[in-house]
Amino acid sequence: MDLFLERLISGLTNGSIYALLALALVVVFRGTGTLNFAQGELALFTTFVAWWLTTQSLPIWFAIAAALGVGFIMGALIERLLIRPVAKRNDMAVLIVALGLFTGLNSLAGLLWGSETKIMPSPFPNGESDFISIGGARLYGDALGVWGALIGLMGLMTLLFRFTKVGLHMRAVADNATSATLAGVRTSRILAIGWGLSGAIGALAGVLVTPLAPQQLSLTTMFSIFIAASAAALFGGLDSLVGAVVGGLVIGVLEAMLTGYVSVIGGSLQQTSALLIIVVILFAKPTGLFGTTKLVRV
Amino acid sequence: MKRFLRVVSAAALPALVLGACGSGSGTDTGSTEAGSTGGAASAAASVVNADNCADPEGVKAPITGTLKVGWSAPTSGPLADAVGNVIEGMRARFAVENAKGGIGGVRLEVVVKDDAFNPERAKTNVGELIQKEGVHVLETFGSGQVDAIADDQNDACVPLLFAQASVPAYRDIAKFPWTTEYLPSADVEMGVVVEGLKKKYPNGAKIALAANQTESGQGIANGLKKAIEGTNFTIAAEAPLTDPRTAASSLKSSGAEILVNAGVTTDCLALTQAIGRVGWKPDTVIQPSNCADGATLYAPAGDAADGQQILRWLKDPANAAFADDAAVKEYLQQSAANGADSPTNSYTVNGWAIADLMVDDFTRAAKLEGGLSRLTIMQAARTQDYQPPMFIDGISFTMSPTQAYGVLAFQPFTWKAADKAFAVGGDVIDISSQYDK
Repeated sequence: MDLFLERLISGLTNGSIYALLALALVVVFRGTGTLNFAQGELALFTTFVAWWLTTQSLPIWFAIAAALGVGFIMGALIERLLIRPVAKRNDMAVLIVALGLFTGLNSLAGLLWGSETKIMPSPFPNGESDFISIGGARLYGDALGVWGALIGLMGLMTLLFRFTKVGLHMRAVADNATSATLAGVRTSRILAIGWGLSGAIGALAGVLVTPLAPQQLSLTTMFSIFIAASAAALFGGLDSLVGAVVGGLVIGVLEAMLTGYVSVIGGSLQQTSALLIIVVILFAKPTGLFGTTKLVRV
Repeated sequence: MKRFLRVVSAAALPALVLGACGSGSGTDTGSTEAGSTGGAASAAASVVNADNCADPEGVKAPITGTLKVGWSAPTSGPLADAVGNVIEGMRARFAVENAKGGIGGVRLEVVVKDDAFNPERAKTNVGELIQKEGVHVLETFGSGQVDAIADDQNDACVPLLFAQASVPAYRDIAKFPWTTEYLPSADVEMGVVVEGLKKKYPNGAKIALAANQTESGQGIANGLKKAIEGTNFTIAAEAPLTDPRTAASSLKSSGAEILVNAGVTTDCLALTQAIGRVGWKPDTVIQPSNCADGATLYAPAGDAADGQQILRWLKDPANAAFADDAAVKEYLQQSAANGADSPTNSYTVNGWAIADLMVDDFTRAAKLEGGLSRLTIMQAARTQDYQPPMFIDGISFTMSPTQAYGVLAFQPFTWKAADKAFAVGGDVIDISSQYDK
């Protein structure tokens, strides 16, 4: 039983990591209809910023707050300076810009901080004795912290979209930007806020997950996490916050169980197997489990 | 056709080698003494010759003026720092040799082309290095790179020396006579690991094996399985390292006394943290030799890493155990004086040691019949038996016309969490007698 619980906790923790980044993807998609391929590398870059600040003897929570700020500003600037000019042409141009940012941000991080692995401190207790025992399995402080951050972020995002003017405007712009503009919504400002928010969420994901990542903080840390987060967002329907969280957790738990109980395929095909199951689900429900079906007036 | 001819010529190898050995001139241990290498070189000549090369005269042509070593390496991307240090170490060592007059007046030069760790770019680079730059020797970093360039450089008969890879296929002298690898074979490393375990567990023990699913990880795992054949050691459980935490919980339940990490560098810290998190403290934990950096791979794990073992073949200039070593002192002074920014970095030490091996090889080649040429360089490489000063005492790089393993001995080191440093964990374990020299 304790082995099952160990695997479940491991899967839920990995799943929470995927879900955090998937939330950032959903926020951008809801605003622009674009899957931001640079999201993982933006998160990586801001995590490097946080790590660098900790090396300057600044407190970890200050470093995280600064990384969130940098993430927000970078996200907004990317939308304003790179995405908006090309978005008017076609969606493919946005995709190409995002791919360019993917490699560009990674290279810039390497140039500024080098390619050697760094150790990012955790803001949560993660010593050998910092755990609570659940049925013989250990739940450590940093894993609990990631779970808590996910729940808190989910709550904040729900409040933002449901009960604030900015959230209402974001939903309006995502639904129909032209109509929103005619109704007096400052679309460009809302789009910049959307990208900024996703940058900040990505930064939070980066600084929380890096201490738990096998690669620690290196230029490759976000590759596999981004792939799983994209799958989680797709699984949930790309425009659903709940869907992103459910998708992330499902992928995390599936991976852990496949690796633990079906090691024949889980070893080398862990991620592939999990993604295959999702493809099957998407065949049955192409908009994802929680995605909105678009109605087009003809 | 050329490959076929090489294979046919190699088929006659055993008889020729036996003949050479019969004349009482096997591999020497003082390989810089040209006189003692004549017999071995003639044996090597049976493995490596210019007969099947496209330009036999060019292969035998004496090298004058400058000897160019052409690198295809990832000088951009995530590995840029690491490989940059290797190249710095090599350049520093060559600068020392050039200051002494080079190899009989021939200066050594390093030419680098970036492949961004992309094997296809490495293949293009090697074509340019051979045809445009006219390099005499090639060097590269990564198994995929060797895979991409080995056929071309063997067809062109340009030596690829001490490639930073450990792919079993390229230790086949008959198929790849112009290729040698520097990194130790996983079979040899695991052979040494099991020899060490036999001393600690004379009655055998249960081993838990955490294996990365890459070629490197599987090579180590298979090496361990081969090495325990016929012993009292058994694999109690094996788990993939895809998710270190899941692997740790699975392996813990096996009750094994020994944990062997058949992983790549990124697995070292992750597995240590994972076993700490599931509350498992195996009696012995063996990490692979590629997990050499204490500051980033052991220290962050705290007490969970205490007592973990690793095998080394190089002296660590940052380790107090080598503080009084004359070769280390000389290395630190000379490398820093010749432009190496990070002389204590293990990659810089590797670059310096490889350059040392090349200098030994070129020096011996220059004394062979025909003088310094691509052919004699390769013949000398096939008979090298040399201990670079930065190799741990008692460990040498040994090649013969019948084996291409290079490193056949290691010294165990143990991580001390309290000191945040490795300490010597035992004497050098040499299994060269198990291999045909």
